[in-house]
Amino acid sequence: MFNGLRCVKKRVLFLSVFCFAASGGAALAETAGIISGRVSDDRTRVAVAGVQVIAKSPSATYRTTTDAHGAYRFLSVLPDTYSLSFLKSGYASYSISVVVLNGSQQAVNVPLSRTLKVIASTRARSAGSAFQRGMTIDTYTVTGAQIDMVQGKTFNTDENTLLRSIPSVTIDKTGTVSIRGGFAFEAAYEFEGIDYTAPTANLQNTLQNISNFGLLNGVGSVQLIPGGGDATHGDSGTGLVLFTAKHGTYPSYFHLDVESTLFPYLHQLGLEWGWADPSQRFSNYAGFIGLRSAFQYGAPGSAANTLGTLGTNAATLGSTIDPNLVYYAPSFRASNDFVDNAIYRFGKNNSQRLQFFIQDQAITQTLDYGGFQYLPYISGGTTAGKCAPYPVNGPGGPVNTLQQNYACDSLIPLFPGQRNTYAFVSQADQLKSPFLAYKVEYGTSLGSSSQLTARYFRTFSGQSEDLPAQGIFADPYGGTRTAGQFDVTTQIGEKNTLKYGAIYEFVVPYGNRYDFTSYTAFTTPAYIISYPITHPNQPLPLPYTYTGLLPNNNPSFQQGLEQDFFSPSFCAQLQIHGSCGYLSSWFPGGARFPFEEDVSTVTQQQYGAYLQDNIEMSNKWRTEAGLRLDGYNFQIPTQAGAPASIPAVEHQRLYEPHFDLSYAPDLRDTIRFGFGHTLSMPIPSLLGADVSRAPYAPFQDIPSYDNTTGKAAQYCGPLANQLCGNYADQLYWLTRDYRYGSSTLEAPLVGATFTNIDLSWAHEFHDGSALKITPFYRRGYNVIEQTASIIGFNYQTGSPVFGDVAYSNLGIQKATGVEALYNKDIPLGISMQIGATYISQFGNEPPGTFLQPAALALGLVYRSPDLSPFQINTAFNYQNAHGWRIDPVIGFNVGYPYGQGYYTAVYCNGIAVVVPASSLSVIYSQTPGYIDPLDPGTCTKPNIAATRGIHEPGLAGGLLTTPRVDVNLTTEYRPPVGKGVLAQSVFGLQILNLFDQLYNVPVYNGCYGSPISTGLQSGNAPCTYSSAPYAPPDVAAHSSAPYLTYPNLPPISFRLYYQVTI
Amino acid sequence: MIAFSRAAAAAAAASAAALLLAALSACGNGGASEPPQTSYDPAATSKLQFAVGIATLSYNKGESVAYGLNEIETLRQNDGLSGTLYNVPMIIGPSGFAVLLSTETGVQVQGAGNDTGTNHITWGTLNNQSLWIGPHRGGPKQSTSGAFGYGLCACNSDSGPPNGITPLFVSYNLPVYGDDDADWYGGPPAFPQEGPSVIALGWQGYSLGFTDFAVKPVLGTYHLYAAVPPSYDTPQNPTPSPNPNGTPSPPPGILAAGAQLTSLQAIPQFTTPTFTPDHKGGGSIGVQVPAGATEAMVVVYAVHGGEPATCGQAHQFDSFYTIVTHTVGAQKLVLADNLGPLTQSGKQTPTICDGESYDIYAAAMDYPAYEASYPNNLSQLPLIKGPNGQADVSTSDKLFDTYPRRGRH
Repeated sequence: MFNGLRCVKKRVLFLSVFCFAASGGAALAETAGIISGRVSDDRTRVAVAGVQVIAKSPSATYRTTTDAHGAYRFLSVLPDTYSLSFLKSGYASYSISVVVLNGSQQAVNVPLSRTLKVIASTRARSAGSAFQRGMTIDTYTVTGAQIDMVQGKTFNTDENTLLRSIPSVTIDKTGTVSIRGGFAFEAAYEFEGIDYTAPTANLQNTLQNISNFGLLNGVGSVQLIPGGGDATHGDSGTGLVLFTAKHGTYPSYFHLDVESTLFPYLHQLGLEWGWADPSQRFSNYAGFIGLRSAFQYGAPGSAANTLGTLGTNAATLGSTIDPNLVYYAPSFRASNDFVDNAIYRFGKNNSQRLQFFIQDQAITQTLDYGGFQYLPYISGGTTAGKCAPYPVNGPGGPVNTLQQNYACDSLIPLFPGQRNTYAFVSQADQLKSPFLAYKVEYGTSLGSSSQLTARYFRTFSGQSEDLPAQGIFADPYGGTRTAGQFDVTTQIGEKNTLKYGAIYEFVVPYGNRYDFTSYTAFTTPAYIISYPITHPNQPLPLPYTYTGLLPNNNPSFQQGLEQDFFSPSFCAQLQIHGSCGYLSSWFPGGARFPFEEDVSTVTQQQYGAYLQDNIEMSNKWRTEAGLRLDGYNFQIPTQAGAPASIPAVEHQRLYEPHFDLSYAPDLRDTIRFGFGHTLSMPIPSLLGADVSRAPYAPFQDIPSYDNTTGKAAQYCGPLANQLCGNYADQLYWLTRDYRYGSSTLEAPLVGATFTNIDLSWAHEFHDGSALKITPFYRRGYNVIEQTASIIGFNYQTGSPVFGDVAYSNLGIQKATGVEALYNKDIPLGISMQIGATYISQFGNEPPGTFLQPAALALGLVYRSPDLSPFQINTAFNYQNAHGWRIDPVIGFNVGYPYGQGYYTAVYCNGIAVVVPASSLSVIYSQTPGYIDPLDPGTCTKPNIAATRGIHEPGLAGGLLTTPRVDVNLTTEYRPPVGKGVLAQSVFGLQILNLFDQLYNVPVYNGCYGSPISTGLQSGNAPCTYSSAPYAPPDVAAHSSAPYLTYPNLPPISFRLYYQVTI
Repeated sequence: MIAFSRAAAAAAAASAAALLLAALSACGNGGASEPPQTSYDPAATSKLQFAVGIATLSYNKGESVAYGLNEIETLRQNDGLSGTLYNVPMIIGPSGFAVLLSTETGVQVQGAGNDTGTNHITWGTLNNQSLWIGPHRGGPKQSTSGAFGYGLCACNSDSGPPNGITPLFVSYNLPVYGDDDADWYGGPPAFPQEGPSVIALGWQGYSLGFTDFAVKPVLGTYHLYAAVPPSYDTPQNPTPSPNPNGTPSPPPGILAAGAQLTSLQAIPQFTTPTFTPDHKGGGSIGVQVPAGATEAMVVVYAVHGGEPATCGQAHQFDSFYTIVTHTVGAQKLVLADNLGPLTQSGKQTPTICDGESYDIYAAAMDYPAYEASYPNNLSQLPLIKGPNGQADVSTSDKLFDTYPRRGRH
């Protein structure tokens, strides 16, 4: 047996192609790679049998012998950088370095020489290089050293910083990652083969779907497969991100990292330990990162109430300015993240592998960025006698103080722990996001030509909320994912690799969510101005014709259901006779409005199976063809008489063909083409939430009653036209309609599908750097869209109040673009990575907060508001022999689309049309044009007497924000001393946001509502916002501009860190 | 040489790096990315015109008559639309003009605020929402008065959504300072029936242009100022504000127009109209257009509701119908049967439903009031004076009744 500890580093110069390192299709399912090849005599070209082949890395060693054809293969190789050695008596030994990633296939053909020749060294190509000769699918790989470069240093937990460095990844203006455009939740994530897609909706950011909160820990490499990829992975939508964990090594290592910033507050402790026994049969990696950070936006000392929608989630950004929302933005986050990766290899030639992997995350966020002192409960008032923010309408007119007080005192539901309605919260709102993922994986060779990987994994994603200031409680809340999977790779001959496999996943949401604010379903709140309700199927906008929504919310009828809850004495005080106080006989002591309890009811079975063949047709041509079946079953229980709140197709299957072709005309060029059809499965939480009847149980034995008619209520059922069985029934249907509307008018939802086509050219330069350019096209079908109409405005904040939200599959997406990557990786000197993405995507989402039903019906598409058309991200790493390392990371984009647009789509007399956007066709505060009060014109031809002075082209999204540059700079020093702790230490300073650029996206200024004339600027906007002490009107923040710009990035910060290896 | 070239190269590299850093730091400009705005001065491009006259006010069921001041104004852009959507109007009368006693009630005017006892009519009067600003459909209103394309109106677009929906023409309860409260709107057949989209926003009808005040008119020069504020703090405190004591040259931002009242000869009293329903939703309106008038407009105000249910449901809101005549003297005018709002399915409904209450009243003018109105007239300076250089009006008292119910349908 060869002493694998000593590699003979003699190289053989060979004039022809022999070092053929190719990365084939990446199988997401696999967590090991393949090295294979053929050994021949360099002079006779005859195969050499019996050659000892050893692949050795710090984490594993593999041995085999070439067969009679000179062929060898390692089918289950742990990801690492290996020294591949070839030894046979009578021949000079040969070694080469090979990098193995998950699912990679390295073909290394070696000529052995009988004579020792001094040759030029051959350098193995890094798997992170932009050039991978013969690659069939489009993929980007970022190895460990590259991760450090693009993030600036090790122990950097920011996943967005890592992903944004990769072409095809775009970070939208909310900081959410998307791949080749699309929605963020249409991308898929895996860590060590575990599906990290969140099984339930992310309550904090509904556009994001990754379970690990975007925090990195223990990641050894990242592989991104945008677009179609190959058939080995499913439910990938727009693309797939694969994380690979680090492994234990021999000799072992221990790294310590401590970091701190003074402002804003941040402390981080990082520990990682990698160990393997000398035989490398056992290895274990463990990593821990603890992070405590406070959030700071804007200039230091900025008052929270001047920060507008800063820090809000993606769903609210871009909406009408609501400074109150910043008060609920996160102010502090504590995270503990533990990863362990244990591997046991056994059997002949260590061909069998047993792996256990676990990640355990605990994240707690404290909200109320604006402070929680003097913050009342959501239902509470700030001054005795006053109740904010939901006054009650009375028979004599809006906002009656007496009724307001009574509602506060006696009717509004109390949050758990709330003593009375005037109490202030005792602690800030909190979000807890625990996450646990683990797997058990077994890999083995089946004979000499096949590899089997079988995996069982589970994930637990929590999203618990305790938000007294917002009236939401959900603890515990989240979902679990359980899966079994197997994948087989079989090499048939030397040129044909067959892959097949299957996966089954079971997704179960859990937990109930309690909403203490939805009692407005029972009232006629004055804050909803009596604007006609609209619906696509109704002539628009006739008032109150849409019976599915709040039939009691009709100002023509001055009574509301809330009067059923009044006491007889209060009815007398208000001089309401007859239909008042209906419930008092059943609740002599009074009854409060019931809260809303949302339950997750739907479970989901996901399954997939694939068959794929990779054929090496020649030295230059390689092709890959596969077929995948992806499918899911929703198990949707229904309550008696109540169909699913949002209907969905219960069973959907999609056959997804994949085809990829690669041509390598020479050693340094590869051209490839790929086509793939993919599916994005809807998550069960979208469809499964329903309103529980439990809170209404106390009203079950009370006969139904509509105080507007004096008879039993007749607005129950999916179409709000059925007789209600009892009072609990009518409360349930009012709440359900308020939450979901009458959704039976929509077709059941299916998952969106995508067609992905891309073409790449990659080139390797003589200095080892590489370039890849990839134009692509992606088309989405059956994209799930939400449409809603504004039915009024929040009386306090001016934020729009949306009516019935309709879900449909009428959405479309079209994206074209070009990706480019250049990288150069050298140990000393300047390494760099430059990634650029140009993307032009059109979809149904206009900039703003909602999609008009008419626009969806007309099929209007808008430039996607969250994507910058062009972005470039560069990272440089300069390292010298004196221990210094400088790592600037620069990101640039040309801005984000925004603007209301000159035209909009509305229903005029029941017909969807495109009309000038005016206060006639759009809620007037969000319009660029104002109609003449005395001569308004018609719906299709409004007479616009004044505008906001902004020349907005065409449809919404015609303007671009200011180009944006983000610069982070890391400087490290590793003392060049001989030994000791100091020799293993690194002292570093990382400056984030070097030029203190506080960027933002313009937000429509709802307070710029005084259209004096075209562009004539007013002074301070006469806008009245909440009068609550915690959100005082801030006139200075609401300038006389049609758009407001708020800071939404942290200011410059200085992070000091110390790292040591033991 | 070598040292010099190296130094030069180093300097060039340093300069390039500095330039790059400067460019990087300049990019984004700290976030200011508001789009450029265009603006123009409405005072320079819009034109204000003003006319006054005598208002003959019939009240007390038509048994009494009083006289007041009538005013007409237009403030229009060159395309005929309203010149500004926010301004603060003020009328300043000649010396001797006093906002003190109501000519209808005989006692001190109500709801005049700080105008009481002065010769000016300002915000203090025009923004009195409890007395003079008519019912505004669509929720709480905090709009303020302004001078628009055809008539004063409490429909300034002065603030964001919490303060009201899109301001549309809201008639004053006329005459101001009087004892009546008639709302004057132009509806079908003389004016177009607006579509459901516009009606749903709160639209009730077109402006008839005039605003009359039940205070004693005085011969002399009247001035109308419309202050267009380049800046302001709150709707209650716009700046600049016209100075009641006036200067010959109004400061920038204030549009001004003058009108002469040269004759106190009024149009005779307009007797209360009569109405004979035809039991089909319409009927025949009898009017006696007084001599001296050149035209008259009859307004039928149908209060919401009525029977049968299909009619009543379509008549959820008040409806206004207007008939125009250019004939003087006694005459019968036909109120068509099916001028009512459309049902949900698009069918026309009766003009007045069975059992629906209605008011009918009329105004006679000696100037082309109808011809100057929207939407037909989009000239920047429509004719708003009669041959005598004034804009006189005579308004009748209201006939109110309930439309008779037919047999069961």
